[in-house]
Amino acid sequence: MNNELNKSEKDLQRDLSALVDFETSHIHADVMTNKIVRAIRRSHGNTWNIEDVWSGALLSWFRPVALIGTFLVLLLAAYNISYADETQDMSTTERLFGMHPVTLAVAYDLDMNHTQDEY
Amino acid sequence: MSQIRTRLVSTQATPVGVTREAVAADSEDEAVIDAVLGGDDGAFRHLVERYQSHVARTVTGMLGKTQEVDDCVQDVFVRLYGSLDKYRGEAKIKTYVTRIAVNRSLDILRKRKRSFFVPWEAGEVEEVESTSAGPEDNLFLADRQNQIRRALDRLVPKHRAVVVLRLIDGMSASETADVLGVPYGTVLSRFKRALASLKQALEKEGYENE
Repeated sequence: MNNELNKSEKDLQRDLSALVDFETSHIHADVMTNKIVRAIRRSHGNTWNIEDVWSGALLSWFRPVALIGTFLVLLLAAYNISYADETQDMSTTERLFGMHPVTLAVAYDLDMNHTQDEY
Repeated sequence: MSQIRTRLVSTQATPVGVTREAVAADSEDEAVIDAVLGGDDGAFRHLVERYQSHVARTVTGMLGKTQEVDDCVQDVFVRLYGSLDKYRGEAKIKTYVTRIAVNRSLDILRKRKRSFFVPWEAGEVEEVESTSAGPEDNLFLADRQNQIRRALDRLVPKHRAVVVLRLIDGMSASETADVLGVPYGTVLSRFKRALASLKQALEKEGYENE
């Protein structure tokens, strides 16, 4: 670095270094280190321990995913209700889910025609 | 998720409840970072002790002797701690921490520009610590330092950053380019213009080279 500078620039460098040495002379390294470490503990209450990493990740992901998920479920319910409006024989729950109740008997009945006939 | 995976890989070696061997103070930076990411928070103290004087010099060079310096230095390390998982080891940790220091200083300078900032005035300057030299010499030295500081403060922030990195931190042009994230040629041209502006400002202040 010094080779890249001419004499006046080296003089300037020396003066600038002296200036910054003077301006930082009031800083006590130990005090500053403790202050920094305390600030880090305050701002990053959690550490890089595995439990903290997972809980931090879950917290950061949970809220947006939960919000978007809730919104989608509400949209789906609204769509199902509006779509099922014409089918007056369906109960509110059936309209909400957009389908007739799936009972064990219906689930195991592979005869689709028979199932449709029932409704 | 890939960040989490990286962290988990580094923590797998140390099962929960087992005390990890403390990293030595003179360990390589990478070893210290691995230790911090592995849950050894005390290891970060080594990084702070290693780089705080360097960061303090960079920030002071950029901002001058103000109250903002302590907060800025603290903030630099808080940000470094928070971004350790993103550190890929492509740049040296010194370059990485210097980049954070310069960026934070530039943020503060931008804030100053928006608000009313009272600059450091020569009349309010405390005296240079007494040395073996007489009071007249100390006064001369203080006056000279005031001239340099005022001239430095007149530089536009991006020029000031180059001057601080090259003349105060003693970085090479390529290291400066890495810190500032600009091409090598840009650093050279910016440094040349910054030096010209600084010399012009120093002349206005009545500064003379010994």
